[in-house]
Amino acid sequence: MNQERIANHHLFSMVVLFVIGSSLIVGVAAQVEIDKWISILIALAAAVPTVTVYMKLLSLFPGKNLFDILIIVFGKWVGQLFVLLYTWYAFHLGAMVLCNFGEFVNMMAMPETPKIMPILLMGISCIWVAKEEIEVLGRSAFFLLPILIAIILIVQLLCIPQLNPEFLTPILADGWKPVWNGAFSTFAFPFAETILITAVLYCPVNKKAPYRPFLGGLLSGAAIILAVTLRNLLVLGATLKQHPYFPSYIAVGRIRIGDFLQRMEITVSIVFVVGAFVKVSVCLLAAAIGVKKLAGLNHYRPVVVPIGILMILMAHGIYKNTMEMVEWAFEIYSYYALPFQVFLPLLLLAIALISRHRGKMTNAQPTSS
Amino acid sequence: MFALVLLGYAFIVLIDTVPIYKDGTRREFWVSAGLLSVSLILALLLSLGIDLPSPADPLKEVITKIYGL
Repeated sequence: MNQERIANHHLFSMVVLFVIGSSLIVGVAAQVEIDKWISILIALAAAVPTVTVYMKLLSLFPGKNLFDILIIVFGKWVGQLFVLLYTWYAFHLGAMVLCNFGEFVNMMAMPETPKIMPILLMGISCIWVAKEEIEVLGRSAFFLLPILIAIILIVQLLCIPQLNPEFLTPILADGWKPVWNGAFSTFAFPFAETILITAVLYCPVNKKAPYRPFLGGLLSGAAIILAVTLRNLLVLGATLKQHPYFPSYIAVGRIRIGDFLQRMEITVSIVFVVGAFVKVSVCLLAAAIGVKKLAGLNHYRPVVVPIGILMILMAHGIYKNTMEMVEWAFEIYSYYALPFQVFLPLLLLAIALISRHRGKMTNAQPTSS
Repeated sequence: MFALVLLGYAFIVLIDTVPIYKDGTRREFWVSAGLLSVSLILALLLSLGIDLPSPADPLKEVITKIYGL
């Protein structure tokens, strides 16, 4: 069977949209009030070497994705266990992002619409694109990214009259502890979640690992998150803590240009729809590829629909309310994701490098999809 | 709602599961059918108003214990 390939510029777009996913709307570093921008910069500084580790893993095993690498390095049984864990992580993350989306629509736009409806419609779109495989997802991301950038740029410019530079001071008024907590949270959500992209990606044989598009995507996504977070801070200031849910929506709602340019919140919704669509699709793809690996299937397409439906059902019931969702995202998730994002990849890399040094690793045949 | 869920799943079986069966790939068919059956049961329970347990609470307990939060 043909191996799926994704062009570098498509990968770049996919990584950018994956990184900004739900973070632009849900917000980042909720533990920090004014110094969120410092947390983002620290998190980015930690994320760059982490993503380099992910790319190094792919380059050590050409033609293999994360699941293949887990089995090669850890052996059949332990490898399958880790494949199961990563499949669960991908599935769980996809459900969480879908739930974020459902809560957002239910809370901000259509409070009388049952939460299952936006989740279902988003889920169906993601199932469809996952069935069409990663090339279509990459092309969709490449098409949608410029539109998203244009929207974000226009909103940033329109927010200029509402900006108050004094809202950024006093810097580090609460000390470094909340900043480090915020940085840890931002590292885990969303920067290091890019580990899941390595589950749907592989380094083509005889070619270099896609460091540039991947790192470029991460840095671009981080720059967008930083710009939007700064905008929210400069518009809302200390009142940001009174709006813990979806601060971007509140900040953009303050845009008033004359009597005709107002209620621009639709732009925030568009950004969220596109970001969530790409992020959930990648998670669904990763979960489907994981199930394919676990069940020994020839292709993952037959399991995309059932896994997608299960993801939709889980998204509907995973949290009781928005407060629980935000608490999980900012208090618990960082610790939950740490093994998947840091410990296991580092362990994988260490074992792979040691084994390679000892000459025990052999180049296996590329996987067929 | 119950009937709607059954109708939806009948549609999914028609457009997704039947072609997999016709392809002759037995393993793919059984894995797909198995997962779809699980999702059907969960969907029917939800349509009857039964709240399904969320993994968020047990995971939170485990993580809190492991990291001592």
